[in-house]
Formats: sequence, structure tokens, C-alpha cells
Amino acid sequence: MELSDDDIKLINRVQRNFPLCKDPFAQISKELGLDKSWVISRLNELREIGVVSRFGSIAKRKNDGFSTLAALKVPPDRINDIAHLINSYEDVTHNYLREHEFNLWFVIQSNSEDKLNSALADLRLHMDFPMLNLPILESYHSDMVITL
Amino acid sequence: MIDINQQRKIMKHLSRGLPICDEPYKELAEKSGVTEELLLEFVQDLVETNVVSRFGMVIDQESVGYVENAIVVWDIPDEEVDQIGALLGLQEKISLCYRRKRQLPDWPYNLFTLIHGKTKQEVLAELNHIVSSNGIENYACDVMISTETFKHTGARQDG
Repeated sequence: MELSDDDIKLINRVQRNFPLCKDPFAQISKELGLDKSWVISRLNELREIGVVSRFGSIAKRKNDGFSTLAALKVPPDRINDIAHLINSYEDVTHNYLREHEFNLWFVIQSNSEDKLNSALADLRLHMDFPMLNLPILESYHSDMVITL
Repeated sequence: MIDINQQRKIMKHLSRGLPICDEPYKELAEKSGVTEELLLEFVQDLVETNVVSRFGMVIDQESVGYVENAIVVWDIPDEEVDQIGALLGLQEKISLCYRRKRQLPDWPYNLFTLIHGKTKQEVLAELNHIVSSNGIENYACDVMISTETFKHTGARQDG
């Protein structure tokens, strides 16, 4: 994705100290010397293509309710089919191949503990590779401000 | 005054996301049944009292070039993990910092971070910088750099 200099100014500005006033985009436009209607339409475009993933509040502590990080030791020739099997679970939000003997790392996020546990139990029925189940005990930080 | 039900409504809308338009707070105030002035005061309070850590836009790391990441884990004694966890959470290139359950004997690590960079080299250089600038050279550490993304969804942040 090609970002212009104005895009970069905008992205750097909107992540923190967002103006809390009646017309926040007018204030931002004025600060950056950009046209307000361009700012609004560009930010909407950036949101549509996924550069801006959300506009709102970032909680101090992420409420991860019923989620866990799990890891598997999968033989190289089975990676693709196991990765696709894991992806087929609706509650799997992230799934990465990583350089390590535990090479497949995924996050499951469910709306109930039962649903989370049954997804894990179901996965174990389909394979007998060593698995780690690493639920969160404490969240110290979950956010990132990017300076481009 | 904003009553507790209105507060809950506002918090829900704030975490789900505001529209990007001329008067985003006016729209939110109408949906929550309060005046725009009261709503703005309330959000200001949330920010000032650190109930929310940040108010603004969240940028997707990968789409702006931060395409590489590593899970980096440490084995930190239980009595020190809160302090070191809070410290690492302040690092600019760390998006997640959690304490997780050890799984002995296979998995001795209890502190998990996710470090981002534009290249793998940048991620590893950042890790070196984090280790030396926080004086955590003496703890056992393991690095799992990503080599392929099979699924990556932006989970909504509720609560």
C-alpha cells in the first residue's frame, strides 16, 4: 500500500490526543494544513482498506474473557493441512507459522469457556501432535501507536 | 448527569467504533440519549482518569509495512513478572505484553510479548535494544519469528 506524505501526517496524528470537541476533523485539518473534506474522505478510505482498523477508545486492560494462545509441533509435511484445519474453526482469530519446534501458533477467542474448551478438545481429536495451551493470567499492555 | 445505563451505552459505542464524519460525537450522543456536551465531558474524564488508555484511531500494523513480528517469551520469577511486564509494555514496538500460564516441563516461559518491525532484522535489532535497555539479559528467553500468516483477523476490542 503506497502512502502519500499527507497520509503519513494524518496517520501519525490521529492515533493519540484525538480532539474532543464538536468538530474534531476541522481541528486536525487545521493543525496539519489539510482540507477537512479530504481528511474525512481519506480516513474513511483508509478504514475501508483496513489501514485504520478502528476509531474509538482503547481499553486500559483488554478483556480477553475466553481466549487462549495455543501452539503445536507439526511435522513440516503436515503444516498446510493442519493450518487449514485450524483456520476452519470460526473462533480462531490468528494463526501463524513460526520458526521454532513449536511451529504453529494460533489464538482462539470464544464467547464462552465451554465453546473454547470444546474447540480445543475437538482439535485434539483430529491430531496427536504436542500442544501448548497458554491462557492469559495478566495483561500488561495491548496497544500500539505507530510512527511512520 | 449521565446515568449508569447511558454510561454503558457510551462505553459500548466507544469500543465498537465511531463514524468518521463531520460531527462524530453528536451522532454518538444521540444514540446514547445524552447531550453532546455531556458526552464530551464524559469521554474527557475517561481519558484523564486513565479508564481508557487511549482515544483515537487504531492502525493495522501489517498494512503500513510492519509485516514482520516475533513472539518473544521470557521466564521471569513470579515475584518480578508484574514489574518487568509493565516495563516491557511501555516499549514502542511491543503491541502485546501478557503473563501466561507456564506449562512445565515443556514450557517454562511466563512473560509473552509481540514485537513488530518492517523486516526480520529490524525485529531482532529491536529485541536486542529492549533486552539491553531494560537490563533483562539474565532471564531465559526464546524467540519465535513469524514466517507465514495463515489467519489474521482484527478482533474487536470489547470492554
